[in-house]
Amino acid sequence: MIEIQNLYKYYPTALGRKYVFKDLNLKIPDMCNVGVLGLNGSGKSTLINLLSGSDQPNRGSIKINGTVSWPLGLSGGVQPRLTGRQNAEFVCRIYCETRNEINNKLEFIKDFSDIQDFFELPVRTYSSGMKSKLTFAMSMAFDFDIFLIDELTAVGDAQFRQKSKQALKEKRNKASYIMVSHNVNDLIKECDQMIVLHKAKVTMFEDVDKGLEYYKKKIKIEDTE
Amino acid sequence: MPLTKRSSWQVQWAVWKALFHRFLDTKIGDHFLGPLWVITEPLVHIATLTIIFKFIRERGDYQGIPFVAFFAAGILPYFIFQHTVNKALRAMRQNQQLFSYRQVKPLDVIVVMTYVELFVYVLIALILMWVGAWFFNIDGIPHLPLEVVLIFILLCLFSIGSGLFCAVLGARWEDASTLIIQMPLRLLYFMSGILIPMQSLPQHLHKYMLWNPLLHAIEQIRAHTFDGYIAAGTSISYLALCTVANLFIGLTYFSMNRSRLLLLR
Repeated sequence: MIEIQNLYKYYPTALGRKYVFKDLNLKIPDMCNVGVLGLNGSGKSTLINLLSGSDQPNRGSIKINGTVSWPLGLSGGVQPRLTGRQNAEFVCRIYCETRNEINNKLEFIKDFSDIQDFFELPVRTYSSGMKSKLTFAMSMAFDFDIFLIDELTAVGDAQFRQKSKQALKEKRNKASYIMVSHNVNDLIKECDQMIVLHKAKVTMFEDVDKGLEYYKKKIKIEDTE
Repeated sequence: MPLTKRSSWQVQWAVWKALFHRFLDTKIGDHFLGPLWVITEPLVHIATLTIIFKFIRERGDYQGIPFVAFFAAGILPYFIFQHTVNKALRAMRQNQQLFSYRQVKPLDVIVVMTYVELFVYVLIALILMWVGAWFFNIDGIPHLPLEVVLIFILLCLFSIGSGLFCAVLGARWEDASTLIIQMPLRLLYFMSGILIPMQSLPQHLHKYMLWNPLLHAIEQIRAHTFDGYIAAGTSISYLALCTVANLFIGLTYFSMNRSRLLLLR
């Protein structure tokens, strides 16, 4: 369960404070997959960052029951000078307690990422596909209660994509997603509820189709204006 | 297998350990010459100074302490401070990716970064002590080791304080901070008693130079390492006072600006 209360978030810019959220209240029940829809700059990524804890609200609170992943789909979390193993080991170290556990996870990541002996080479030698395979494998190694997915589209080749879809499906039994995507079809297929962000207004829909309808209407109104 | 529930301290400790390994790996690099370079860099520095000073001065020692030992005791502690400050300026930008993991906070980066420097240079100091004593019959082993440990701890905390301050400067004004911090840092090198002992400097300069806490740290390390070394006017308590003040300023400035340290590009 996620509960956001009276949340304010702004970014200071040269043109003054730019508010992303003003007095945001939101409740997401357990085991509910939520899609986030909105135009560019409407605050989708900010919402994900706030939930992941990598950004702080200016006011208000976020209460989360259970463990939350880091925003999946970003491949910035790896240091190019270190090897795949060293990078993976860092993440394992901050999430696991025992050496045994860490070794198991490393084994899994090496196996899942499918990059063979490149795992022992610096990440700067990787192709961009290999890099995203590694980061995806890293996030699949842990059983979070809530996965935050920021534009996770088409990782790697067809074979890997199949594998990652399968892995995500398996996680679904134990975990829920909060998913940002521009691909509306994906959202309809995967999600139970929908959050629409539009002009600093956040609306939650218990029905995906209703959310989509609302979103389309909002955009159209703007087009005709 | 679900993630095990851990206490805050367990998480904190895990983060520090993980960061320590990561920073050490990054410092050493992926080349096989990496560890060699980390050790040779200060050695080359010490050797160069020794050779130059042997030419300038007729004697090979200060107050009976051979140049090599004298310079090593000055440079290694100074490097801990200098490297921390230099790295802190870029730390927030360079380690931005780490903050997407919620348990890693900006403060952890600075604390562990300083600790890595301390670890590396103390290790080198120990190696040098052993090599000096074993092969060259130079006595560089502290005659008052506990005091030396205390000074190193204080120096480390002092560096954390400065590092926190510089991390914010670097995050807010990327280019200006280089000018504001790195230029004076060069000057500080000459004013911290690395090259010449306080005792050998003109008396009327002392009262100005003694404002510098790093000078106190370095001179006190020498006084507690080499028996009979005269560290005129310096004291550990002044260093401790500066450390507390520095930590206070650093932490305050850091926490005032903590939201600015996230999501830098």
